[in-house]
Amino acid sequence: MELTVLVFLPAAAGIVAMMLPAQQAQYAKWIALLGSLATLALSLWLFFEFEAGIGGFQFVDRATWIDTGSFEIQYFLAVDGLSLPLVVLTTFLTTASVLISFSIEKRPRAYFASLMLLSTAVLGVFTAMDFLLFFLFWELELFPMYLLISVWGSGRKEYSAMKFVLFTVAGSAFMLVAILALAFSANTFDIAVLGQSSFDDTVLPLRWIFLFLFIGFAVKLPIVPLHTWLPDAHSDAPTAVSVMLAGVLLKMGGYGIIRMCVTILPQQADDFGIWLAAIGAASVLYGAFVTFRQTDVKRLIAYSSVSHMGLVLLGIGALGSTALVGAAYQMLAHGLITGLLFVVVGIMYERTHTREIGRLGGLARQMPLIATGLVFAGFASVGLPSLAGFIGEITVFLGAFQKHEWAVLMAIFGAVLSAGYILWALQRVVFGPVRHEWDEAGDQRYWWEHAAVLGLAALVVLLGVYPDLIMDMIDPAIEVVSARVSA
Amino acid sequence: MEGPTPVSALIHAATMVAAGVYLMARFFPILDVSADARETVAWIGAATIIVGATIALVQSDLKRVLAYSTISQLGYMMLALGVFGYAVAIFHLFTHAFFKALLFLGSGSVNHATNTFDMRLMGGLRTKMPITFWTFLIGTLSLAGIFPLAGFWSKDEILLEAWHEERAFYVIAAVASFLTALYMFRAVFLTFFGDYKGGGAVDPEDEDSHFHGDPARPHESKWVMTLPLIVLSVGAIAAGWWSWGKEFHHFVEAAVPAEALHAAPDFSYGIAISSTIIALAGIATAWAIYHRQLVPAREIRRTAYPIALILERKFFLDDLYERAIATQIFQRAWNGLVERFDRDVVDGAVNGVGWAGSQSSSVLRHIQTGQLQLYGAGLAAGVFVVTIIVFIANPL
Repeated sequence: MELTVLVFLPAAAGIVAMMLPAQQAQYAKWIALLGSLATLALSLWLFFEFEAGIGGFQFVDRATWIDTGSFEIQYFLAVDGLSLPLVVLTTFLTTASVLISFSIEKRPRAYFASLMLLSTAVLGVFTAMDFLLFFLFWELELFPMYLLISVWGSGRKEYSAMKFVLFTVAGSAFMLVAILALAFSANTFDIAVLGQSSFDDTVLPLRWIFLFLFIGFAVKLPIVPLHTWLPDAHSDAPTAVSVMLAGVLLKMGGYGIIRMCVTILPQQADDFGIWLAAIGAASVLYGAFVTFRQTDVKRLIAYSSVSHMGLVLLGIGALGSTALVGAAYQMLAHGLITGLLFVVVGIMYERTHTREIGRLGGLARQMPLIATGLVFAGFASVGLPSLAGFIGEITVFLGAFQKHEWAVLMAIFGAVLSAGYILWALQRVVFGPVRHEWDEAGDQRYWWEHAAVLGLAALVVLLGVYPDLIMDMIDPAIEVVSARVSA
Repeated sequence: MEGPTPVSALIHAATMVAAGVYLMARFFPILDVSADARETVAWIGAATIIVGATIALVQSDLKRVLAYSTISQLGYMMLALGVFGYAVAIFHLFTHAFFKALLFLGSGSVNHATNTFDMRLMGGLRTKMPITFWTFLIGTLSLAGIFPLAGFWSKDEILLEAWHEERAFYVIAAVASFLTALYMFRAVFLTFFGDYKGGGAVDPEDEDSHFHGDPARPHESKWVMTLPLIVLSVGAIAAGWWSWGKEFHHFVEAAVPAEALHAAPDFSYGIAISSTIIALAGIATAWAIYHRQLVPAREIRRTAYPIALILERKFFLDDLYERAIATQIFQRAWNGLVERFDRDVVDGAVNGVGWAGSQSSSVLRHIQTGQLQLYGAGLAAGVFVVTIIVFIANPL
């Protein structure tokens, strides 16, 4: 019951916000904040109630949904040590996104309703344990995203929204074929059961099924060369949507690969492991090179995301328990850090109305708080020890080195490059000569901005100095996966 | 170098050397088993000594002289590591910390009085800032390796190790100790002797400037600045005495397993006296050129112009790294290529698929005319074609 409440609470808040009378539209944000805070509280309660030492699924909500006789499609929600941290990440970033949207004035009811529906869809993806239900939530996420980008976005917003949807849907088509092929072989959509089955008589070769699933998830991660929707979506999306997109939506891809591709088809994952690692390392480097050329702050962060998410794939490609734990941790760290980066850049954009690096500069003097936030988030993104990103990166490197030396060496080089492009960007935006254009722009000043920035920064530090808080939870869940791979 | 002076002092005296030399020293097991590794480290060290020292020779910025001096001294430490002198390398790191921190803080004190680091705007500060001058002189003598100051002991031992391991290294290190004395006393003479040249002008527009007072009338700094100088000069004098009876060596070598120990050669009067003479020669040369101006520096520069240019441009290393590699090759050429590939090929393919889709549907759109006759004719034609195909495939 807990998970059902958790998943649908944001949507319920969204519906309430939507149904407000027009003259009370300004309360929509408060309802969204209340809903997201309640969801956050519930997810934290689940986090501390969760029995960390054991593998397997907890807080199971299960009912038969569609029974066709030969097939049973279930309403089946559950979490394990892999998905619960991602659930908390989602509720946390949802709250931050609502806070950062407090100054939205265009159609606030529909805006907050879409944002909350997005949260429900993502929470559904992370908790659904029936493959069709999972797919349903996976597709549901597109609907609010399309609206949020194309209505509240900027620049070529319709193009970017459409591109985002088409990419995901194209991937989903492959995924659906794979889901059906698996289900016809095992006679179930139950992910927990599929994760323990072996498949002999499938309509498609298992290699194809693996690849089809992988394509569906890889678009979301995203991998090179399926990544070009990401910078467009980021640069044209409103701040809160960028936060959700980089913070949690990309993690749906990594989560899907671990949960579905690797767990259900471990043999094929092993066969393709070297390719996954190679694509991951290539994404790290390629993303880094392109990042160096970006002149728009949001596009720069978007391409750096491509680079940093490549590490997740590299960790998955190594398949050892350390590397997989590293991949899972890197997802959390990247979610918080990139979320924070977009939050701060969004606040800065509110003041300056530009994201062109060439027009910014010397902001440390006029906007000391924003500049501090940018420098902190930048350092975290570089992977400074004692901040969350470092733990994720080092764990991936340690776990993957023995299996894929060259890929790891390439990725380490990419990590060095990330120090280059981040510090260079900080130098051009935050330091250097003062531009008097921004004298009156003002600094971070609203309580909601402070709350979002400080909350995320605190978590980045917490996960950087006390990784066991999460590691103890991820470990047993990953043990189950890696044991299946080595069996 | 561009950081605040106390930060420079800390970086050059402790953290930077600790990061590099200490790390390399920690890896002594690798150096121990691999002659290739030793030789590589030693040659890199030797090259670093010369490059750092020669660049320091032509800098007009006092802090830059000290910064390139650090590079040169790091070269000494690396060279020591490459000739089995693990303990000596750490010992030089230890003594260097005192006199280099002292020198940096001394340059800060000078800057506090003159609002500049440019030695061409200084001169004559010996009488105006006596404490700064005397402590700076102690640091300089120590760095130059004058008996019995700290730098003498550690540098002497490096020369000794080099002598026993490979004569070429000894020659390089000895030549560089001449250069060390020369560039440091050049700085001393330019800064503290001769006539005062007025210091740096105060820019009232510069919001980052912390300068208070009048650069035309330099004065000794307050005790908060001079006290650290005095304390550090005690170390710059005495820190080397710890090596008496090889005490320091025993201290460091406790961390090295017995089979990896290479007994340090015994103190040699020959090396000690010759290196002192070399250093004194450097001082004398600086005195002749920069104080008495027997041979004016300008003349030397004109005669050896190509060499002077190479040194002033820092062997073109900054140009190579910043302009050629970072800007042109990496950013413009390579990253530009990848970015254009990303935009035109990868994203171009995506947009191309969309374009192809809309083009083909705008062609196919024309057969949707809404005329029943046309649809009927098409239907009949289709049936006809299928029938023909079936007959060809399965003749009756």
